[in-house]
Amino acid sequence: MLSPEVLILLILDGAILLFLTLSFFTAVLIVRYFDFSKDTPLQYYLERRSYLVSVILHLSFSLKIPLLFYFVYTLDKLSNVIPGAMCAAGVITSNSYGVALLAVKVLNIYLFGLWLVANREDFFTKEYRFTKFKFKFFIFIYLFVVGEFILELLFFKSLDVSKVVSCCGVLFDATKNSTLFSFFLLDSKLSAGLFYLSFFLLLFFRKKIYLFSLLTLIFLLFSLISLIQFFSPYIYQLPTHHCPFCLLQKEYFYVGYLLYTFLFLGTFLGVSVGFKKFFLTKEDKSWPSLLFDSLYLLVVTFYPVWYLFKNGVTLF
Amino acid sequence: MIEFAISSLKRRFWKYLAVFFIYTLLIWLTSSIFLISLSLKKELFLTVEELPEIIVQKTLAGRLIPIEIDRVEKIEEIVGVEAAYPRVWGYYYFAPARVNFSVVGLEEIGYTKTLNNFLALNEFEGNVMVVGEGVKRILNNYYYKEFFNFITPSGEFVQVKLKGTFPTTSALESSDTILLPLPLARKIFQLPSHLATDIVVKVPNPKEVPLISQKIKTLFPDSRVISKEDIKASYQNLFDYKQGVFLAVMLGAFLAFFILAFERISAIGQEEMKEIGILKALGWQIRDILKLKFLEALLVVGNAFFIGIVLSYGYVFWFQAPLLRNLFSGFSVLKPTVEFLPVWDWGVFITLFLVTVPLYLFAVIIPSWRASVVDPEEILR
Repeated sequence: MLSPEVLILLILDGAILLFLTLSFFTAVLIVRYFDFSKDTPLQYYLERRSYLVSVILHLSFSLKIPLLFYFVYTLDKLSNVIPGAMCAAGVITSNSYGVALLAVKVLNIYLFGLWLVANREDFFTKEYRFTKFKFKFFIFIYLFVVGEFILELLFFKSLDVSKVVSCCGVLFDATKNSTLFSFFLLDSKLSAGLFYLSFFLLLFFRKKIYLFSLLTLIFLLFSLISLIQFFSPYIYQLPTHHCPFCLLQKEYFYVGYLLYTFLFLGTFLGVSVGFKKFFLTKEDKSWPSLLFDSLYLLVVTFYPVWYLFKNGVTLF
Repeated sequence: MIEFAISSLKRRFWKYLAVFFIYTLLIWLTSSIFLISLSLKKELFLTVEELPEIIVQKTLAGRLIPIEIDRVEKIEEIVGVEAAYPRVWGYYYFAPARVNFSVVGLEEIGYTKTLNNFLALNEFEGNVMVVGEGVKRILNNYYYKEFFNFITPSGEFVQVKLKGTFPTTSALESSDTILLPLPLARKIFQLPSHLATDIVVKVPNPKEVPLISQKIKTLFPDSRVISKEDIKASYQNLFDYKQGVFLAVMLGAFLAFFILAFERISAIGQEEMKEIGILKALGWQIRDILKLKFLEALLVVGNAFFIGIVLSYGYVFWFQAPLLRNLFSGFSVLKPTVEFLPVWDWGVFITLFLVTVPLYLFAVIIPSWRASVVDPEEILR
């Protein structure tokens, strides 16, 4: 597939990988030799290098977020070319790498974000207390980034323009036993109930940081399931249309970009407070996370309410 | 901070001028190509939009051959088909100018809206033809001002009066076209009256198109069925491919540019070193200096991007892209005189932005970092 979008994705991810590989060598050196109490030339060298790595990661991170959206946009565009696909869902399931690739992409953004949190905390301490930790963590992230790049290459390489794929109407059809996403097939009302329940649990346990972080992950999971099962039909105003990708299209006023931004931001902040407390021994408030979670909840709840208000009936 | 960055850039105006200039040029070139391609695509899609939903052709040994007219009725019997028409059209090779004209035979109903409108306004019977602008130009060159002599396959001459040229919204579709009344077209091609070139099928509901295509295919296994969506997908593929190839070629240029930028920014003069040293002595941290350097880079690249885009808009849609247009429309004698229709597509600008700006920032990371970690004491000494 030689479409300009694909080319650009590969180039940028390649560039990021190249610079992260540079940082990786630094990270290995730092993990082995960094010692703040020494004043050898090597130590000075490493301290300087650690700045370089932090700049590279800042830039990579701020690039990775738009690239994720751009990736989805590219898939949407490719769906015009690939027979049967009507949105990104069809393209991404057209070969076995797609779903894994998307998952790793999202995961990597979370990981990068957490690294930046650690980095910030590290610069606040005078004696670089967390430097070793953050570079160990970076080595861990680096493996995922390499994995992501390999998956991306495989995905675009095996994207077949002549193969017919399923559209999202089939992929997320609850009546059929579609192979993918079978895990997501909870009953619609149940999924919505679990979604609200997990949100109230979040509210209730907002002071207990570890529990809060854990619950955030559960909240994320149920948000996605209920978005597919319960909310998306209201957004499309079509009881059979369950698709998390069509939200991103023009017909629905690109509401998906808003929704996913709120959801991912909220849950990221939720995970990061736990991360901070555990690794960086710093207590943080959970309200910023709750704020974005609630914004997501408000937007997503608006649709069924509006539907009920206009039509006087519910879909399920 | 921004003001500081601007004044810092001003002081090193000449150093950054080359980078800025080349970068603007590169962005202008890339974005012009994208805009031309996008505009052509829009134009083609406008044309495709007017096409009938399904075209049925007949094949024999993998080659296209004329199709029997009685198939029209059978196709019309399929549920969901509004109407089906046989078409008579083909290419006529005009040897002196070495060009192919597209000759289209018309009954009272045309296949596209523009043709229909045209037919409604004009009498169109007997030995007359209406031609596209490109055809008109060529015929004039060969002194066929009033009429034209077609030569049939058996060698007879058929004299046809030239009635005029027709207007179109999109120049691509019809510059090389000659419209004739149906009987005349048959006569010129010597096509028997029970045959047609192909059959077009009108289907009001687009969702029924795949099924109906399938039915026609089963009804006549020797036929080739092409739907509008197929045509669109293949156009999209073609244009993506052209843009992709171009971008791949441009990458070399971009790479060269990034090396230039790298060099430029790496070459930190005595003066600049001193400045950084003083800033650090004043209590600036490595982070602050990095921030300053990045801000400078952003200012350079952001302005270059903006100016490049504006320039390319002017170039393509105001001046109609001299020189570059040949890359896309080809050098055929009957080259249509395309007016580029203005387009605005966020996707393309985001694509352009992503290919240019972040890579530049990556190129300046290492030089900026090198500049920022210098030891103030060493320099000031």
